Amino acid sequence: MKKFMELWAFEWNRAKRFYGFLIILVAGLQAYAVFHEYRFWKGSYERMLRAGSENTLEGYLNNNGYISFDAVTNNSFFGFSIVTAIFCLLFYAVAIWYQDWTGKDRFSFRLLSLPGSRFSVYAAKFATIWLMITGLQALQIGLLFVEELIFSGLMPAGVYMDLPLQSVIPTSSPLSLALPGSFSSYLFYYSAGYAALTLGYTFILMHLSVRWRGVILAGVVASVLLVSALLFLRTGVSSFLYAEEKYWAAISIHTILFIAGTRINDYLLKNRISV
Amino acid sequence: MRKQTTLWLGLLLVTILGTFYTQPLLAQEKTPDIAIETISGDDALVKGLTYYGTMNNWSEQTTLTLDRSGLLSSEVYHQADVFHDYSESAVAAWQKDYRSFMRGKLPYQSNYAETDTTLYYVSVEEDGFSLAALDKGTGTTAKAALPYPATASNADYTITRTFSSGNRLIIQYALYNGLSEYVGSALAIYDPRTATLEDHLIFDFPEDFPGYQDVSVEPLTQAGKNALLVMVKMQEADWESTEAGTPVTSIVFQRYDLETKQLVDLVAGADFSEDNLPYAVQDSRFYQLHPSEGDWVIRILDAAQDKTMDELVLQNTATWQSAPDMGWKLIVSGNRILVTKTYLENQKPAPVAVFDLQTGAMLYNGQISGAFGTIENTDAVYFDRIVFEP
Repeated sequence: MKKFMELWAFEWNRAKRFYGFLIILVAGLQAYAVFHEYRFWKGSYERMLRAGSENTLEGYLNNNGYISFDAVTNNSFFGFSIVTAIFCLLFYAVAIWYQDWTGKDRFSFRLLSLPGSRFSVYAAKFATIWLMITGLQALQIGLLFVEELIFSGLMPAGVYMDLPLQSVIPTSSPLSLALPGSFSSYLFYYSAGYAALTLGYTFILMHLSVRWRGVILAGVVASVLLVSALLFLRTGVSSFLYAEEKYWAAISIHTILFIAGTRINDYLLKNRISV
Repeated sequence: MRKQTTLWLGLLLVTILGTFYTQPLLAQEKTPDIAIETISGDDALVKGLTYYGTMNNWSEQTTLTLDRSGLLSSEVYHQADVFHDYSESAVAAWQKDYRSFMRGKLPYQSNYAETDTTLYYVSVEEDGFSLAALDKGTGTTAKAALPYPATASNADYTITRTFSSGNRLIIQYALYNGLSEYVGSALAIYDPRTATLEDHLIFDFPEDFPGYQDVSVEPLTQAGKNALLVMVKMQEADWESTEAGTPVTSIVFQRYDLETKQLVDLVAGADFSEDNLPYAVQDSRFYQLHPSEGDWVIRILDAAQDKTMDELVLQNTATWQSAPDMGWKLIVSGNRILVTKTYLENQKPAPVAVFDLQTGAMLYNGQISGAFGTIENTDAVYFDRIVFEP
């Protein structure tokens, strides 16, 4: 445990600069989205006033309805900030391994030579990615509060409709994937996400263990998993399940994949990994 | 950063996420405040009246059932949830009562027929309709394949209604050609005990007709004989015109005798051709709710005798504000008439009234009132099924 905690703090310290840059980028893009959406609304409102057909706020509301904060979360700059964060985290999730396994005087040699279980090396890297993801989610919650405060302050009274924050997360947007609107969706997406991350690490460790043979093996395993999933869905079993049964079946499959992947990763690190 | 700090940071982030997700759970899940309120009369007269409704807003769907004792059940489905059961409220109620039988079945009420003893389910398969029947008393189930009637081989079928009359199961379906164009409506009449096709009626849609066709069918009974009342509505629509004009509508009433297998036009049906008025059928009579100067009236067609009966004045209805349109529901059961609305708006009560079938006297006057939803733009409650069995 002590080794894990030390390695976790070490990995986190290494990620801080990259992470700080990512936070500034996300916050900047979202701040721009707030003002962009406000200017867009103001422009259309002023055009309507100039046209003179419905030159009152009431007339505008009759034609266009209230505006709420989901206008901001649907803004393309807002969506871009989320997609950028997702891709940056995916990049770092891979880089966290290869930065130790590439170049001269490989750091991986020292990592694996440390006393105690080698699993701590894996757990520390995984926990760092978890911390980065969860940190961005918590930051997003804070940003939503602040952005909502600014946007509602900019809009004239009587036009803005106040909605709960969980409700302004559009169901088919990158934000709904990064920060789902309900806990059940959060559990579903993130159990799937962390299972996928674990399997992704299995493929990386296969590559680091037996090089290109590992890549081929990983490809075969991935294909088998994909084909099994498709064959399973083609049986039509899922149509016989009620919604809550489908949900818990999916969570169970994610958990099984996560545990299986973690055990394989432990085995590869202890017995197969090469420096 | 020190190792303890990393741990504390992790715990802090989990707390923030936990608060974000538990906060709405604690704040909402308020049961909709909907009830039937008596204004005058004995509320025993609305015993056996059950509303099955659905209420939507942009984040959740609520299905509910309501009777004179209050809200019987209310289920909330969040739109943000990964999997949904978007079942119509009547189907949702069957799913609750007959969970095993309803497994894997479609969520549309049009695929089901319910009798006192049996719940039937039909679905479209490659080479025929598939039938599943549940004996509600014993819980036993039976399955059968119902052969398709001999129609154009390239037609696609969509079931629009399933119901039973006597010992027969009747499936009404729409026909579409290979280009997914509507080509007509049809009725297939089966004996579910032997899974055999007894008869088949097709109502073709003329190829060059500019508008819509709507075929409605209601079961009729008289002196133990079963028949069907068929109403074929043709509505012309000028697709080219941008101006809204009065649509030309014609409705033909027909009576189909299930014993003799004869389809006859009802001449008296011409008196009932006014469109979009609520109607009900009991025994062999067709009742249509009409607006009138003062109190509303019910016009009656005796389909067995092809004769228009004396109209019935519904007393004390002159004060009702909105005109009788399809937003109203008329149910005739025994010697009672129920008039109510098919939807309820937030904080705008909807009438519920029971009248005597012979005299039109108002026996019960009440209203459904409701204040519901967690936000101001919550939609109305739509009652997709209203049962009145006093």
